Parts: sequence; structure tokens; C-alpha cells
Amino acid sequence: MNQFKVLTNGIWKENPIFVIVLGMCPTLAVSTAVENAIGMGIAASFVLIMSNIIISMIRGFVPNKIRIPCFIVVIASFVVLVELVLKAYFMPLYQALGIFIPLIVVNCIILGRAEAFASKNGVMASFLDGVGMGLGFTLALVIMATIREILGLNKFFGLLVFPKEFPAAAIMILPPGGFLVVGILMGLYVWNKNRLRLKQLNAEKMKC
Amino acid sequence: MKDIIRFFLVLGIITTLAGFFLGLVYSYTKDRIESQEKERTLGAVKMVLEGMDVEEATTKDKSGQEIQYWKGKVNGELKGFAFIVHKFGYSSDIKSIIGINKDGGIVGFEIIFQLETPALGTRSVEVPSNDYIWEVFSKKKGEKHIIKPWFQEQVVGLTISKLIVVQKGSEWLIMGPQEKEVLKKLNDISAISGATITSKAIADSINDTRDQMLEVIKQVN
Repeated sequence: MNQFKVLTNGIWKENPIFVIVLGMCPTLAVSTAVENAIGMGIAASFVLIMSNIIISMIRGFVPNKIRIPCFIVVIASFVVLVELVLKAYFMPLYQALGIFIPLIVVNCIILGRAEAFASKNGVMASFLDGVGMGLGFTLALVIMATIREILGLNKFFGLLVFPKEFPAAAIMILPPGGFLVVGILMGLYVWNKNRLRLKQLNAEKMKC
Repeated sequence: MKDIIRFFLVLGIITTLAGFFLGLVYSYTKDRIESQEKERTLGAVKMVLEGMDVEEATTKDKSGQEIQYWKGKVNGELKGFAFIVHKFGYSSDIKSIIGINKDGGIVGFEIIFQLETPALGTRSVEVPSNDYIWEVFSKKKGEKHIIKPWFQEQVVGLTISKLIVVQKGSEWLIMGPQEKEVLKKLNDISAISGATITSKAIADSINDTRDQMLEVIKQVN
């Protein structure tokens, strides 16, 4: 795969949330407000990119049998770094993301990409994969948060959208709402993919 | 055997480097984190004891335990007290500063630390927005109104001489003035929809320390 494709792969074609379906826990919990979604997206992307780079660099050095604990030490170190920096310089964001910052350690996207990509590819490619997957994750979070915040709190980025009397449904902010939104979005994604595939097949048939 | 030694060395090197690196980051950010916490605490004390000169103090209660508090004076006269109250909520120890006048009435309340569930428990520090999204572009810059978080606002005006009870149902944010009157008379607060544990913990952080606080006020008066 050429470099550019590695980058764009994670944004849509192999979106970590809608296609690979990893990192669902923080997705459901943090996609309740757009501001939180962006914050979490940036924090997780940073950890993903940095750990992809380091793991790619040490991939020749780490014995296969103990690769998982080694990867996790690397990932956890970057999460602690993010936590300390947030605490020192961005307290409001730290409190908004709360317990989900330490949970970035077990965000399956990060360990998943370390295992599936960074441990088997060069540093540049791993960096690009991290960027792409991070962007895809953030994009998915923001799309979900937009829907859930508007329908659940009548807000977008903390600002009111519809007139105050709008009957916002709190269930959108709770887990069932999260499942509904992510399920419907995944369904739409697959429907769209099938539709395009069908078009492509029909176009090929015409040529015969 | 050779394998195990190799594993031991590799893991050892990685963890040592990680520990060293994090130790550096920690020592670099430690002072800033500490001073920010002190600043936030003092800032909150000044906000709850609005218009008063604050002065830090310590005293001992019946069991000999040392209690930290702040005195609020107006023109040298002792008018108010501020205390730190805290209780574990859903996922974190929620810390707040409460301002009390000489009669045990609550004059101010600020949550200074919480790590509750995003968009549920964190609504305890939510500031009600009166801005619509399209207004962001048309509103003039500098038009800032200081609105206090509604959940904390409803605590102000209550008293610690009675227990504060959390009522589920409507939120203070959408209540009419009559409903708000009723709540205030009962010395109750409304819970955050979907965050009862957080709401109760905040109320109980006050209820659990009220005896201690009343004692200090009596002592110093």
C-alpha cells in the first residue's frame, strides 16, 4: 500500500469505529457532547500516533512471545503523559473527559493497530496509519456526538440549537442512545457501501 | 533458559526507560499542578465569600482532628466561613468549597474537582447556555455574562442547620419560580437527570460535615 493510501484508509474505508469496530467503550461514553468528542479524539490520536511510532521502532527488538506486555507499557506511558499534561495545562478538559483518559490505555484501537500494523511496518507507514486511524476515530466520535448532543441536550458545543421548548430526549445521552446511534450509522455505512458496489457491478456488466 | 533471560532483559529495559521518562514528565509538571490546585481552591473561596476579605485558619474539633477553613471578614468584622467538603460520587471524590454565614446559611458553593461521567455527572458544573448557535456569529464579542452552574446555584440560600435532601424529577434548570420556591423552603435540591448518585454525593458532602462546620462556627464566633 502506498503511503497516501495508508493514511486515508483509517479515515473512512477502514474506519476504526464503523468498520473494524474497535474502541466502542470510550466511543459510547464520550460521544455525548461534541466538545468531549474532539478532546478525546485528540488525546487518543496522540497516544495512537506516538505508540505506533515507538512500537514500529522497537519491533525488531521485542521478542514475539512478550510483545503484548511490551506494547502495553509503551501505550500506558503515553497515556500517563497525556494525563499529566492535561492536568497541568488543560484542567477543564481533564475534568470533562474524567475517567476515560486512563481508559485510553485499553482502547482496543491502539493495541489493535500496534498488533496489526505498527509491529509489522516501518516507522513512516506506522505514523501515517496512526494519523489516519486517529482522524477516523475522531470523525466517528464527532458525527455521533453531534447527533447525541443535539437530540439529547438540544446543544451543539454547549450552545443551544432549537428553541428552549424542544423536548430533548435524555436517553440519547445514556448508553441505549449510544447503541442506537452507532448501530444506525453502521447500518447506513454498510448500505452505502453495498449500493456503490452494486453500481460498480452493474457498470461492469454493461461493458460485456 | 536463554529465552527467559532475553525476555527479562527486554521487558526490563522497556519498563525502566518508560519509568524514567514518566518520572521526568511528572517532576516537570508537579509544581504547576500543585500551584494550580491551590489557586483554584483560593479562587473558589473568594467566589463563595464574595466581597469579603478571606483569611486562612485552622482549628481543632471535638475529636482533636485539625480542620482547615477560611474566615471571611468585612471591615474587620467576621461575617462568613468557608470549608472544603468532599464525598465520593459515582467515579471520583467530588471536592467543593462551601461558604457559610454566621447563622448557618449557605452563601456560596463551588465544586472545585470532580471526575464524574461525561455529560451526566459532569453536568454538576454545567453552565446553562442562553446562547443559540447562530447567535455566536451575530453577537458582539466581549458580551460575557458570568452565569454560575445551575446545580451549584440551587444550593445557595439553603441552610446547613437542616439536612439537604435530593429530589428526583424535574431539574432546577427547567423549573418555574413557584416550584423553585417549594424546593428552597424544604431545603432540598433537584437531582441531575440520570446522575442521581453524583447529585446525592454532592448533597451528602455537605450533610456529612455540617455538624463539624456548625461546631467551628460556634467555636470561633
